[in-house]
Amino acid sequence: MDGHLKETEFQDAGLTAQSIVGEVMRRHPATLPVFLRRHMHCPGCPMAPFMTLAEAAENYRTDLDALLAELNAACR
Amino acid sequence: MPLQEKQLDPALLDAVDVFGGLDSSGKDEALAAAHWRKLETGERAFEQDQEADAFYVLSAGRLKVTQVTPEGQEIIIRYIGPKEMFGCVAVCGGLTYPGTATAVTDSWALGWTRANIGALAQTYPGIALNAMRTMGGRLQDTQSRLREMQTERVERRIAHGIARLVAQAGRRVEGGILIDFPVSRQDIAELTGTTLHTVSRTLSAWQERGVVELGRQKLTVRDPHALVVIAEDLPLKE
Repeated sequence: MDGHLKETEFQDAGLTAQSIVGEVMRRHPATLPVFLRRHMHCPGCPMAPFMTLAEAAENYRTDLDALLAELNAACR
Repeated sequence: MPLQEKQLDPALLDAVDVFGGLDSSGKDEALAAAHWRKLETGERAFEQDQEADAFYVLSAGRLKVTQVTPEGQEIIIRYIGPKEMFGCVAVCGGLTYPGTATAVTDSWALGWTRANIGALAQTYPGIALNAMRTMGGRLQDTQSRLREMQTERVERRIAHGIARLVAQAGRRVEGGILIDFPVSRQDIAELTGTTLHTVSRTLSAWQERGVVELGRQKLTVRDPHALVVIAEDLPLKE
């Protein structure tokens, strides 16, 4: 569980595989519909402050790269 | 394929539990007292709370038996397939149907009025015993389901309780989320309004599944997503 982001991992709004789901939703509320559309129950989840986007993608069997692209696009 | 009017085939009754043990003259007598009922898809054989005036054996097709909650939600109690009985309560007499039976495909049923099945049961007490056996089996199914639902409810409560502790005092550690204060099974029992025994049994099962890990006064959520799936009753994805 490495909380530090490497410069090279930054894209668009800077959301990466290691970004924390709870942080992402708190800082960028515009990302909420992305989770909802993908039937991910992250909004309001007590585990969200502890989980990375990579873990969330794995749990919901969703493609991480596509998720990151959508989340970053939603932040624009 | 549209269903045609059926011949009264005595062999149909051979495979039906309620007429088990009847000799051939008994089966002939039973068939003579029966009537055919065709049920188009969506048609109801009878409705919940209606007086139980007939008993049926399904010959072809499929029915669903449903109940409606006070909020108007329809709950499927069971499906009825060929050679299965429905409307069994009519054999006992003086009762109402516990659910509504609706054809989900075009169906044919063999029916007996309450008077007819009552008269047959007088002559052949085995019919009543067989009907009782069927109803007993269905009661057992219902009780198992009730127990499962009760268990699910308690599991969800415990999962919610632990999720609350995570939100309050979770700390990310290698391979999970540690609840970062001493927490005992008794604490969780009190938090979730259940017994120590139930908490121990549930947490042990979850530990085996890799959902949580229990230490002395220490609880780590190993699979946070699995815990949320239990707590929220989320549909499982493949």
